[in-house]
Amino acid sequence: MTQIARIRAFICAEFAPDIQPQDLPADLDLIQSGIIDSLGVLKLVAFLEDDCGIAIAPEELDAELYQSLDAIAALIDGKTANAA
Amino acid sequence: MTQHMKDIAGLAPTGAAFAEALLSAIGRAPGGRVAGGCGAVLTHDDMLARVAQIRVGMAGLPDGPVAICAAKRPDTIAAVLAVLADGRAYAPLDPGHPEDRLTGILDLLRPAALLVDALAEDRLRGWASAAGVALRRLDALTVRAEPPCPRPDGGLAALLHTSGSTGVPKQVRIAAPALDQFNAWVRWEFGLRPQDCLLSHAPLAFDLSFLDIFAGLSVGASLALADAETARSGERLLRLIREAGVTVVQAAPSALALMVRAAEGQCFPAVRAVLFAGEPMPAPVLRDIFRVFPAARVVNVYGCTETNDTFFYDVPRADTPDPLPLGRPLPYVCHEVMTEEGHPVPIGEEGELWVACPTTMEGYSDPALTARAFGHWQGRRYYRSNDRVRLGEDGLMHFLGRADSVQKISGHRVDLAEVEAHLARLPGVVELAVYVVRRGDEAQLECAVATDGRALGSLDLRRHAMTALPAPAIPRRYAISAQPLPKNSNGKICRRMLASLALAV
Repeated sequence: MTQIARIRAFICAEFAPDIQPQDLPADLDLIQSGIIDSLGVLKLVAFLEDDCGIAIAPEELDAELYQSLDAIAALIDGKTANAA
Repeated sequence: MTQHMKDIAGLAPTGAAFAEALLSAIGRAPGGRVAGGCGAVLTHDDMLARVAQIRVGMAGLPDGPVAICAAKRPDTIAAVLAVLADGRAYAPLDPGHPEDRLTGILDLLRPAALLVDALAEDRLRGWASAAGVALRRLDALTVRAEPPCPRPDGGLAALLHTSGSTGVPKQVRIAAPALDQFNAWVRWEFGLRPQDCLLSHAPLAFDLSFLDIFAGLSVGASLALADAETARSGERLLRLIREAGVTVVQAAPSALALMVRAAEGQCFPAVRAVLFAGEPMPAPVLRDIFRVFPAARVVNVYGCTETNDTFFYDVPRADTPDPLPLGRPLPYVCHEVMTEEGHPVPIGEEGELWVACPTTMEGYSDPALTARAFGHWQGRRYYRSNDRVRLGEDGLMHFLGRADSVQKISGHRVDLAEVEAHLARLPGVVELAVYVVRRGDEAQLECAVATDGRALGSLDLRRHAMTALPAPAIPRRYAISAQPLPKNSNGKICRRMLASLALAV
């Protein structure tokens, strides 16, 4: 499973058990659609750090950066690119 | 108040006088009949004979109300009339209720007797013998004799029991003049005639049944009674409408939804009025009602057990508003829109609906509860509806939600009624309910949906929700199926049951 597929599966299992991971559109606004609220952002960040080994800086605790799967992928891509 | 309503001569002062008027209207229309869902029929002449026999069978009972627990059949209606004619209040118990609920009501009621059918006899024999209360099978009361004189009136005609929010039943006490006044309005507003046949869908324990049974019989009209099995099936209801020749239909929106789904292209031009009450009407169901009942006047009626109906709205076939307004007050209804502190709000602003009318209950059995239910303004006593409303510039009253439909969800104020109204507009939704579920220490919004069978996913509901609702008002979980949502005995969607089902999954 790719990293983004794991994140997708986590979001569905944790916040939207009624949605199959493959059905979650990458561009769906997770905040506006009520899937993730501010508490949910913290849970997601904990998952990214603990289970995916992605370090999130304090200034990256901004809900906008997690607004959709695309946004989360961009955030992770940026980190991998910086690390490379 | 209109001139017509003023012209109505004195209201029946007692239950016995009220029943007497119904019995003479029945006697003047011998061609009428009361038909049940399973083939049982009493002609109006048979009905009078059965009322007399049941009265004879009640001879010698101590003072007090009589509880009736029997399936909704023509004979059960005869029992209601017999109890009233005897000068007693009748207390209808729903035989479909759990035994604990029935005995809880009986403990509160302490009736002079229980009139039952075979099924209810088995369930209530234990309670009756422990309490020393006479238990009589209706089908055994067949002695033909001159009925006894009515007893001195106890002042009450009907005792209905609603489920209080704490689970303890509330006893609503209704006097004969209240029933008589309501009958007068129904007869006048809908022009009831002896040739009419009214569908009686609601259980007898529910105040909606006053309209079909009492107003219908007060002109000698025929009745088509839906028993519990019929009431649950759109197909059976339509068969009853067709076979009994129903001209006036009154049912909860969810029952009408069952009917229009089962119609499959049939239509019923003989039905001249369709009335619904009890819960919001989904727009797609309303469109189907216009199709299935092409000749009917369609009316949204608003009220509660404590006051009976207080507002009504003639639904236009074109440019139908959604949600429907409550409409205009009945001619004898005074109303105010009040702040929490008990002062009128400026016109057009939101507040609680207070109503004062002659159809209001005498009170609950619990005086403290009665005191809390009423408010006073300018010397008049008003029933506080607990419903939030707004009087529009169009002069129509608009329903905004129950006072308790506003909930705090993770710190945000969310109006469940508003969420439901928006989500229910998504095509494919037949029934929908939003409720709060406590998972761990978090309270979250969840949603149950009954669809018309088309593939509707939670993503569709969320996308639709996003078009009008803020994120905290969007339900977190969705239970979607083509099955109807669970109802309580009044035919309303049971949110409490949905919330506990959600946790059980």
